[in-house]
Amino acid sequence: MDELLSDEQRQLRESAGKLCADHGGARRARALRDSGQDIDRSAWRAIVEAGWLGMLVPEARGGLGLGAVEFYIVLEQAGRHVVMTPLLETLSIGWLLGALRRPSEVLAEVLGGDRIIAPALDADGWYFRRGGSLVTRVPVFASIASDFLVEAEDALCLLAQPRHGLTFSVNVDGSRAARIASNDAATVVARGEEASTLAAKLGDLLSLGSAIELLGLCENALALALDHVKTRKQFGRSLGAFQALQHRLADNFVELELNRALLHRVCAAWDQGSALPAMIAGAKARAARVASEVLRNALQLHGAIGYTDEHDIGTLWKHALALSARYGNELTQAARFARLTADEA
Amino acid sequence: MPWDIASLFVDDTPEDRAFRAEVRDWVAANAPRELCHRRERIQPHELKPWHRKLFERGWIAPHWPKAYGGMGAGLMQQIILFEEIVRVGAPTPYPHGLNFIGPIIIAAGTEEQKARFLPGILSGEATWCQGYSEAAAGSDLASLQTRATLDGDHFVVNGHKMWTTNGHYADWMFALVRTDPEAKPRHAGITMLLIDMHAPGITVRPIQTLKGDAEFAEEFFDDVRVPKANMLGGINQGWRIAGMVLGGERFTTGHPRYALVYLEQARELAKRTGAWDDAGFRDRLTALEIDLLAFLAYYRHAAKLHGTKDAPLSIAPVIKIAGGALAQKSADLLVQAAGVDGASAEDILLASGAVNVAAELFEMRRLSVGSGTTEINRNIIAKRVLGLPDPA
Repeated sequence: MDELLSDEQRQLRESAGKLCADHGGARRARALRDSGQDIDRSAWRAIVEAGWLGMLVPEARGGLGLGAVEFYIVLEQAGRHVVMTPLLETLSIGWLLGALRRPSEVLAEVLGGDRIIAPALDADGWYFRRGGSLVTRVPVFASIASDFLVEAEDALCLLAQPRHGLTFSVNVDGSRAARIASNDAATVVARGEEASTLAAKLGDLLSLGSAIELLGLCENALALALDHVKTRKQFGRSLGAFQALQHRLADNFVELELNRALLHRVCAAWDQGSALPAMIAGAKARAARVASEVLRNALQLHGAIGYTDEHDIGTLWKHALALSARYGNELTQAARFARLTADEA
Repeated sequence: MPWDIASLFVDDTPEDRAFRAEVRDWVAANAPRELCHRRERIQPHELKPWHRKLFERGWIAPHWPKAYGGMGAGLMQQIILFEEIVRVGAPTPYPHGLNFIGPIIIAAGTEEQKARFLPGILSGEATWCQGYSEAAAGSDLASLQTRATLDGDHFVVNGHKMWTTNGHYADWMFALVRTDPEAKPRHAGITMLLIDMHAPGITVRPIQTLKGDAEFAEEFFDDVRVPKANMLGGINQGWRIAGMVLGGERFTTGHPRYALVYLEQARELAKRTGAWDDAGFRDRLTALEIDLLAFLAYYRHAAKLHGTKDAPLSIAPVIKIAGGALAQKSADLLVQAAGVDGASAEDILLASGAVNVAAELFEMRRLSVGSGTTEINRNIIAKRVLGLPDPA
């Protein structure tokens, strides 16, 4: 459903596809995981050089002044090729810093790729205070971030990576989460209504972006499954000739077509200022639901090889689990959709 | 819903918007009150005055070329007309003449055939039915056996057609008949005939549907003589001719409005019956509303693409599969919302109008069976989109 892109957008998709294919892939994600890292530095350099990071920042503030459709285009490719970089986080933080009433001093460093800020908040309130210290969770890129964006009282703050108080945990795809309990001082970037409005929209952008990455990843998983059933022979014919399997693959395709259209439309709505939080909640809930259906089927079609660590389909599944869990998982987002769409009864 | 979900993702151009406003005003003034929101099936003869009004207004065939009395308009205008008509609960004209055979006659008919058949289709004077399915030829349509043999300047037709919507009201049938029983492949021996349903030798029997109305019929042909002039396209060209149908009707039969209406009704009804207090009910409602959101997005996107060179051939099967499943599951939920009245054969009164939940459940069965089952559409995606081999 990408047929309605402009010529410039098509070019971006082509170059993004090439960059992500050159600097990504499941094999590379496994190697990264095995070496205990959660950022692919050379992929990150390529992305910085391609100039994507300022996509959602107005030109007057040093960005490209592009929109959510471009955000969709690059993240779909990043998800498809399992590119392990803080692209979504930086595009989103860049958007937030560029949208502040007062120009931000750290924005230039963020857009240059040198200062990675990991979001450590959630619209549903992962953050809470206890005994005077800030306790929050960072879903990903916890070990490499220079700062964390946190919500404290009625302010949005930057908390520099603290020396103490971080408890790291490793996700199945090798990405690093952490729990922060810190007394360190944080720098306020926005207060009051500005802070709450921007925090909510940042949460939306992160949910939307993770849904888009899931879509790209699922397209890759479906392609792998199709390759496998077309090649693998059992009972003297290719697996792809069994109608029971064909119908499951056809259903996966249908669900992905719907998600592609939905995410595309929600991004277009974001650019027009008409994207509602409920739409984004629904889109992430559905992206995560469909991802588990598509991956479950793709794994099953791969048989025993799908149960090995060396095969790409398992790596895709693990990355899908991580993308689904962060920024609101399927049921969290479905519940949020229900709350946001409830009639006043 | 915090948004007007019916207009969600609508991307009318300024011209479309102006057209929509014009249609809305006109429909408000002209829609037949007695037919609006009627739950029993509306028979073709009851629809004729409304059909004629639309014809006289010039809006009966938006997708036909102007030269043949249409609007020469795109799919968008077709959808806008449909949406604005159903918005007030008014019926839309039957598609068999206007959407199915009309465009085929325009594309493949002789000048004589066009002059003879198109005016009646436009004005609604002639009721048409589609004679494709037979008792033993459903999904495997190419196995059809109703025979037509040439005798001078007439075909003599013998056989049996079935599951024909409006067969018992129709003046004309466009039928696929076998003219070459030896043809290999089988679809190379099929011809399209336009058959006068009042001709001698035709016996029509209505078939009662699950829903309880006589929507369709079966027809027995016993030495029925059809003039050769009523052959559409060449002999044994029927399969190709039938494939010339435009496909735009997927956008009306597969419109998201069924699910939209059912889910709204289910909400209202559940609050009354107490089903609303069950977490299970609300979870399922939420899942379906999220599916509806996605299907609306797909529908608008596909409508924008339809007819362009970039339109993927998956559009029709995706609408059929996803739209059909969504509408059916939404009707299921409506039955759940009704609680103990879920099996009632009677109407339930809602603020938004009356609803017969079981009848809606039954009615929605057609979406996964008529004009290509869900399974056939999955086959199409598997083969033509995903490039999978023919099943052994």
